[in-house]
Amino acid sequence: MAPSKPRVLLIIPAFNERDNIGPLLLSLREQGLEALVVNDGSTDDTAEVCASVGANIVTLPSNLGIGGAVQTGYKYAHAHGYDIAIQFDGDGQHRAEFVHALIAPLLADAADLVIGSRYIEKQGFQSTALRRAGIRYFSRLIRLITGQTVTDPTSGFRAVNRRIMHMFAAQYPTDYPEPESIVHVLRSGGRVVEVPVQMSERIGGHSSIHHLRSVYYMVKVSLAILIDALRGTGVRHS
Amino acid sequence: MITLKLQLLLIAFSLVVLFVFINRTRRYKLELKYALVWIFFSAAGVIVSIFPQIFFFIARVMGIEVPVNAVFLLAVSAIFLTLYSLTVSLSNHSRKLRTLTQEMGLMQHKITEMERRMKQAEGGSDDDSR
Repeated sequence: MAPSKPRVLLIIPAFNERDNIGPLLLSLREQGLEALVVNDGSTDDTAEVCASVGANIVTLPSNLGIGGAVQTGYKYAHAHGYDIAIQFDGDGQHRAEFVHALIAPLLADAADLVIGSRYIEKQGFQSTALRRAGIRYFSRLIRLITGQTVTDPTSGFRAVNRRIMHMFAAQYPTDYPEPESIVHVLRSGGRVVEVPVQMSERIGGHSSIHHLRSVYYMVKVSLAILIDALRGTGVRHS
Repeated sequence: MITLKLQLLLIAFSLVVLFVFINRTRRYKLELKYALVWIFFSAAGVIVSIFPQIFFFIARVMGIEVPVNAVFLLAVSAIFLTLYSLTVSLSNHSRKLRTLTQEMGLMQHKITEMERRMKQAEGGSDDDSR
């Protein structure tokens, strides 16, 4: 890769994260990491909290959902010439000390998309048994379709190079984007690599996936993966 | 057979739908693009209910024993196609709206950034980062 220092951007989608986002942004700055908050139409004062710590923030006028928010970040990163974009949750689940491990395969040009996986070394917060079962199911489905094993397909802690950044800026799934986008990358001939990370239990707020909605989630993401597989290499984004 | 009563009912119903959609479009309440499919199907409804022989023909071709069932089949098909066209335009609109929202957010960010730089340039002493 380029001999000069690569420009890395953390994309932090935030919807009503006023309690967590301030300390997170300060700790990221201490570690010398550049971050962009995508405020996804928050109804609380997330934007003010971010502004008060001098954060770089894009505020969307209405709530697009995680996919639309993250895609805004990819568009920004691509337009501003960043070499690497990292998706990083604003709720305290992801830990900045793993960022260097996450971007290492990209710097070595050994991957196009790197996923931070909780289930390689099985350390840190492992999520509930029910969710783990769901994750294993997606993992198997993706292996069945692409032939590649991804141990943590729902992980939102991931890094991409410019090639995938460009692809995601043009086309990114709207909701529950993580597993589907992996299949999209593999289908387009991208290299997907996982590195072991540890995650924390979210500090505040609620997971966007629970109860009955998890049934909808399972069905929708399964369909999204299957339909994406049907696209083959011929279908480009609209 | 189609009774005269049903025939008159069908004609009246189709005419009302046709009138409503043309009138609403005339008053700029509906986009012709989306009213078109309704206008087309209700016009077709008027024609086939004036000439019910068309139903008999369709029923015979499709092997439907009672011609009135051909009426329902065609009506359901028309609704199905209308809904399909709505789903298509809904998908298009949600994609456009998403792009628009994202662009607006990015544009807003650019403006804020430019204002900050301008303030810095003229003020000089302005050490506040925001």
